[in-house]
Amino acid sequence: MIQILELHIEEFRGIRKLDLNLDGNHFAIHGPNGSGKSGVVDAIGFALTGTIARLTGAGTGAVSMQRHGPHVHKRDDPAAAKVTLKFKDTTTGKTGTITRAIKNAGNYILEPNTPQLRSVIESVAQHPELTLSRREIIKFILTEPGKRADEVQALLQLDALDSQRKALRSAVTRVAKEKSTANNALENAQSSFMRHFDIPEFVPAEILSQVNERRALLGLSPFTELSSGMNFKEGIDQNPQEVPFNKASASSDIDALRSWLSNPGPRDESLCKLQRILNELGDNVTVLDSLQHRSFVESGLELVAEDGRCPLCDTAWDTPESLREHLAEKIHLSDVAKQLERNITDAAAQLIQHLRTGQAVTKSVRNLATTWGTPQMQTVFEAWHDDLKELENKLTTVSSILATRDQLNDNPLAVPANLMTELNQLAESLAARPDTSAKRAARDWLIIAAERWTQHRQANASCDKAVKAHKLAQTLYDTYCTIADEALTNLYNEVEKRFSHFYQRINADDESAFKAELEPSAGKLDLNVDFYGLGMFPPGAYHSEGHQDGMGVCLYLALVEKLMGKDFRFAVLDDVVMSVDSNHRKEFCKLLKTEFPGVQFIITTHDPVWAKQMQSSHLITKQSQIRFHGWNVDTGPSCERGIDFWDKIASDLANDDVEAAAHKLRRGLEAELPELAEELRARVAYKGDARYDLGEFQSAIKGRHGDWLKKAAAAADSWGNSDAQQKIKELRKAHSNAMLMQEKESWAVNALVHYNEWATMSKSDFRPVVEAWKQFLCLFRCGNEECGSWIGVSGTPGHEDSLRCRCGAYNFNLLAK
Amino acid sequence: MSIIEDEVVKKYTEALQQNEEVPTELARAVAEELTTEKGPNSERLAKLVAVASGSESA
Repeated sequence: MIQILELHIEEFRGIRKLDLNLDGNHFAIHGPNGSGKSGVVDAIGFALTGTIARLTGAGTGAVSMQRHGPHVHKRDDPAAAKVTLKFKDTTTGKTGTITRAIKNAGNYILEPNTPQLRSVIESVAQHPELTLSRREIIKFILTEPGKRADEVQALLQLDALDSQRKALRSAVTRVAKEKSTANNALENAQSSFMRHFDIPEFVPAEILSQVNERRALLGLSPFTELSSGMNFKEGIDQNPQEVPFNKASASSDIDALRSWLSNPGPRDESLCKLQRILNELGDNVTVLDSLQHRSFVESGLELVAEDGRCPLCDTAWDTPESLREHLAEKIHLSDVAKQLERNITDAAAQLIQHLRTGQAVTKSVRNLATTWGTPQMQTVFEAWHDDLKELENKLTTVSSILATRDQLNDNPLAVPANLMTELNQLAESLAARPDTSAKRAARDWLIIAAERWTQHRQANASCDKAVKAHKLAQTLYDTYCTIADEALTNLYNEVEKRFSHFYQRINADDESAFKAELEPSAGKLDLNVDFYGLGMFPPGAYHSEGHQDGMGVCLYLALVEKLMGKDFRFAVLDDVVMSVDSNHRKEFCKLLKTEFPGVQFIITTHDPVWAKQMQSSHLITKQSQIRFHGWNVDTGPSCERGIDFWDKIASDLANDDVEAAAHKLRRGLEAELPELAEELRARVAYKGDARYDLGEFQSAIKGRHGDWLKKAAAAADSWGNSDAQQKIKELRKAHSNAMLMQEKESWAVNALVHYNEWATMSKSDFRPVVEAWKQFLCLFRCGNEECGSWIGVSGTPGHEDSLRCRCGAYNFNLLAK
Repeated sequence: MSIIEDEVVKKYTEALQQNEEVPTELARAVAEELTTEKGPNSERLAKLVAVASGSESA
């Protein structure tokens, strides 16, 4: 981490040119609103991070750092806007200088450019929270729990924990999906396996029984137990050469032919019917002729032309009508023949059905004879099959049926005598042959069972691994949650304690028992605080704005302390305690000094009283502060540093610039006299509008100081403290001299209520005024240069016990013996 | 890496290494993945777990 030694700002925001020497100490920048303080805060942030917080992010609209970061007179020259920051690496003590310009804000020049210093700067850039404004305070205190959680998480850089948790959770989900897929695959494999076995449940004994039954059929050894690696088809000849023989099927085929042969009734009936029709037809030439020519005449009738000529024989007729009448008469005459034709084809169709059945059953037997019978058998069945086929072919047209009349009358369906003989012999032969279908079925069954068992085994193994992976992923996630939750609980507990402790210290007078509760839950961070022992409430419920400001700073300090640990070495507090009342601010100064002794705080405030309190509390010195007392667009902030107060006035007078000197004296006294009055508990008449004249302070201080010296002298006398008596005597003399000098120049000094009168004085007139004020103020400062604090009164009002400075070099007892 | 994140990852790694169910190599690899500059990737974490459990090859 670093601490800031020097800061040089050029053409940046509202600043034209400014040099600050912080020297690693606390530093205060104070001045009224609009005097340029925030420009310094921005410059520090910019030098370290390359960004200007108030010009980036939500709500900045069209404002951008590149366009609006430079001073308005240099808005087209971003290279001119730059900040140089000299720092000290708090780890090594080495110093470096970083320079960054708006034009190329992402880069910086580092001198010396060592990896070590670069690493330090890169590290600081990761901590924008080191600059705290009142806006950030509000984010911690007056916000919804969800947003507070976000802000606190961002400040503590807990986003990484969130993303780690999410990534592990997401990994669990992914692995769970894979487990689900593997589980489905296992269920499917098991279902397929059980379906093959035709069993409703996976019962090993039943599975073994079925497997061994098939293996026994194949002459293979049985399995005694079901194991994942077993091979159901072990020992099977997977490529058998023998022709399969299914005895039942063969027997069925034999029976079918035998049945057809032995049951000739239906086919004989069809044959008889056909024979009867054909016999009725007999030798009737006319009918036969009509029948044979009917279709011919029908075609001719359609083709009769208008010339009356016959389209079939070209014979000329008188008229086409006479020809049509002739043909129609012929057709009419053949209607009898037509009916006869229909009867013939119907009867033939019935017979054909029987012939086809006969062919089918004969063909099956013929195949059996071809494989298992003798050539004789094959020849006989083949011939019978062909006879039936030939007869079927002859029954397809009327003309072919008429041509087959003689064959039909000659018992064409008579079964050859040797057919039955050969059929019986074939049946006997097949009956003697061993059946091979059961073995084949068993072999096929075992092969499929083995395949499905392998699939089941593989699915089971995959599922086991997926289950294991899921369990492992869940363990990784659960362990992370446990560790992270514990760490966060501890973290919030520690922050809670430190936050409460800090706040108690600031408000020891009335809230010494204050406590806070930070309660993380489901992405929220509830904050409740004690309100005077009456219960725990949200911070905005009852506490005043000033108390809320105090809480904000305390919570911030507790969070950053936890976040950075020993690396918390500097912070910028930008006008963050403006609502905290005067007394509590002093306690705040003590808090910073004692709880964060190694941290450099750079504090801005628009409140001059707060600035003085920082000094009087010894948080800052005169040298470690700058006061901005005005600003204009051409010159930037007007500022003065405590160390230069009298020197600057002297410088102005040397330059004959009485007006400037008068301005500085006036501003200086406006800053000094109220603080001195407070230290000496000077009695200034209260004004509701707090617009006091400097003369009122001067008079009150003068009188009160005299009173305290008088009281100190009386105490010294009562105690017989000669040393103190002597010193007080000298102080009273100096007091009188200073008063006399003021009296001497009273015509001029008293003009201080009219600032313009000073401004119009000559140098020789104004110089004694300056000297009178200088001597006057010197009366109240410790002579020790390292201290230089105002003298003040200690003890409770009415029981003041001493008049002293901070270091104790100036110390007089006010309590008489 | 912030102090808190550093502390959590350190304790997390220790807890995993003390857990017999979690392979040492996996504990180390997960801690490494959690602290990568780009941030942890759930797919890679799932892959590490799958490899460690044998359901996937490296």
